[in-house]
Amino acid sequence: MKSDGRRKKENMVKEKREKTVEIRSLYKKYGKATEYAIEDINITCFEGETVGLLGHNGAGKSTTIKCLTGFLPFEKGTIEICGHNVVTDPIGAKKELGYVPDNRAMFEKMTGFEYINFIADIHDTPSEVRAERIEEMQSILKLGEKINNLISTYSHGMRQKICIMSALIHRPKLWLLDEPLTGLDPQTALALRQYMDYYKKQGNTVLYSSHNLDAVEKTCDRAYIINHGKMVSEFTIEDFKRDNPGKSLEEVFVEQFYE
Amino acid sequence: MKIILLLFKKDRTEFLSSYRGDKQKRDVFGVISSVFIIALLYGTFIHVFNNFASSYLKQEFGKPYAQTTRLRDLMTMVYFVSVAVGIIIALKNLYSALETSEDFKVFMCQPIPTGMVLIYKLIKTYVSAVISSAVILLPTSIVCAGLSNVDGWFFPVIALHIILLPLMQCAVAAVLYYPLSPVLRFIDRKFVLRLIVYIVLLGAGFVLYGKFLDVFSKIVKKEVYITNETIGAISSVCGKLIPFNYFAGMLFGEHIVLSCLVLVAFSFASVVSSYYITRGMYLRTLQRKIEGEQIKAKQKKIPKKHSQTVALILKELKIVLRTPGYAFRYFATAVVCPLMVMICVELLTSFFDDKNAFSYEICTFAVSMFAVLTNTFCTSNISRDGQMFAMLKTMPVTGKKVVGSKIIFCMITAEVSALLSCLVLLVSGYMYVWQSVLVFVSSSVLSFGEIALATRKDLNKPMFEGGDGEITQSNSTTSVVAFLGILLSFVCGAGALAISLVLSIKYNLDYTAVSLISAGFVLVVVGTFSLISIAYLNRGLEKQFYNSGI
Repeated sequence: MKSDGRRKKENMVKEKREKTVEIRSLYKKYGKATEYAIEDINITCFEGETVGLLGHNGAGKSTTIKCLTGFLPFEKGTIEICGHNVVTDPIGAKKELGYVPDNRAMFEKMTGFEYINFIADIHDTPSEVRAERIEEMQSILKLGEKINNLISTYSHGMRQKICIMSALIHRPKLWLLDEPLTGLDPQTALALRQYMDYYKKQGNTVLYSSHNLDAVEKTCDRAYIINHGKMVSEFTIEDFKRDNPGKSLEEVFVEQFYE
Repeated sequence: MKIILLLFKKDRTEFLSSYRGDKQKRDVFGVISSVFIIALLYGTFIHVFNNFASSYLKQEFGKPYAQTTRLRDLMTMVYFVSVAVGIIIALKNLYSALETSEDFKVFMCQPIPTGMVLIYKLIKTYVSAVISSAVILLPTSIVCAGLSNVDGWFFPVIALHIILLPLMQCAVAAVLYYPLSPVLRFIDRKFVLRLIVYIVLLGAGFVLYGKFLDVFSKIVKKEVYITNETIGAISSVCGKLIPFNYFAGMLFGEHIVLSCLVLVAFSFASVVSSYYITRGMYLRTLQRKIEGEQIKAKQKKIPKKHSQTVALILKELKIVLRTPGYAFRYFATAVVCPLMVMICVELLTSFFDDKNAFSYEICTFAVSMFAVLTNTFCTSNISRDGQMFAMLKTMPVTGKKVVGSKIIFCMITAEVSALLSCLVLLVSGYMYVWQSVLVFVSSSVLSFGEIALATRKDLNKPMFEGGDGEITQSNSTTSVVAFLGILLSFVCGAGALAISLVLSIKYNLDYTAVSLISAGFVLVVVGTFSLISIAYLNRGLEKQFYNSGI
């Protein structure tokens, strides 16, 4: 991708928009491997934008996200969420984070309702606001009465919905999603994309990793591409469309990285 | 047929793969100790039966009697127990094969006829019934044959019964399953009711076990426990136990040809009826599972906000209560623990002329030991979270809080169980109030040390396995913690007893002083253990929490 997002970032800094994510020179190696899984990853996100993280299978997207969320330790670099270092101030960093994982891991012996309230308790969300927020997300995701059933009885798509609801119950500054649209019906996927847009306009950041380049093109403001563990491109969607008229992100991506 | 063999090959592969995994996680000690304990219990059962049979067959009471009649009565009782146990086991296996098993999710996408899957499941149910029959009938028949003269028919008929009676057990289980399965499903969904059922069943099991131990202690003390009235009562009951007395009669060649033909005919009818009864139920169950059970749950109100620690503790409670295996292994065992303690104390004190002479030391040992055994559940404190353990690391909660909440949850259960045990012993007159308090305190300190140790060991080497997240296999952590805990219980009990003997006999101290000094010894032992456990727990806790579960 020939365009880069530096101009857009410079504009954001000029507009004095706060950084929500700053990853600097991130290196991560698994176990006794000699080579790094990810090398020299640099990502910056500002409030009020949606950023996509793209790459082929095994590129290093999930590794980057797991380092960002505190799930994986890393060898070199720094990661800050809203100014909180994830290593030295992990609690402060994670308070600002709402994470939707790709494996939809949840406590299956809880009902969806109990799980959302559990996450709300962990994030110290007041009881008074929970009903309203759950109602708002129900209107988009439409889980209905099944929210009171055990998660172990849920389908794949229902689990995804509960993951999304629980990630937003505390209104995090950074909403981080790993393959969020998988398993959702088209109507819900559209509603979710619209909600992501609405969420970022509230002054928050949405950062998501996806293979669905069509959705990325429609939803994101900027995107990063990781290839074989290295950051190879950073661009704004606006610049991409201008530089690649008549071509979709998917076409250009496949051309550059698969052919 | 080929498909059924393939399905059994799949079972063998799954079974063997659990022993091919990470060598560090293999529980060699656990396997050896389980085999040893099972062999010990089985050996005790055979010894008790041998003694009972010997007394039953040889007691004369000054009147002539027919040994064959007594032997037939004895074998009638054995058949009754064997068939009853076989039906219960077959019922349990049918429920898990048809209702709780999730293998249909794989089979329905493969070219495997549903009928073949059902036959495979029924064969497995039959095999487990055969094993249970063999376990009961073989040693008891060998004991009886050794104590009296039996015909040449005896062992061939026993072999025939071991093979054919389980078929009838499966048929009876299938018939019982029909009305019982909606009841079992209902109980399964009501977690508290299910726990109460577990407690009642486990309690009843231990009461029966207590009676067995009572007979065992009388055997050891060579007391007479078979009277003329006992024999008369057994004979009267056995006369009414149809068809078990009929099976027993076959052993002595009574109408042997006709009986064998009838048995074979009934067995054939059992096979056919088992298949057709379960087929209908299986198809309905599959349909229900594929469509998704429409359970209308109650609408809940937003609960009041809890602190992180309380939220984590409530989470633990829900996971354990709502997982059948956990609820049985932990909560039901913890609640029934006082009964086990009571039976143990009764048995051990019965070996002394003065039951109260060393009752305090025996109570110390019993309460500690059963608390330790109940607390081995805590060796899966981290592993139980499964993939969610990794998710907890992405939340604003420290490792100390996550681990601490698990320890608090386990301690609440341990304290309730220990308190009930001490109250039962106090009410039964085995201890004074102040002794009960000392035993409660020492047991609590030991439990805390054990739970801390178990949790940290599991954090160091968690085992995040299981298709539905449930941990069904123990690992080396469980064995190590159980062994250490039992060892400490013995040290406390035996040490307290030794101190009591020395102080009371050699130094002639009074009972209160002796008990206090013994208690002091116990508190030093368990206190030292707990301090070491706490230090071990806290060493690099946050770093280990951050690095675990990757």
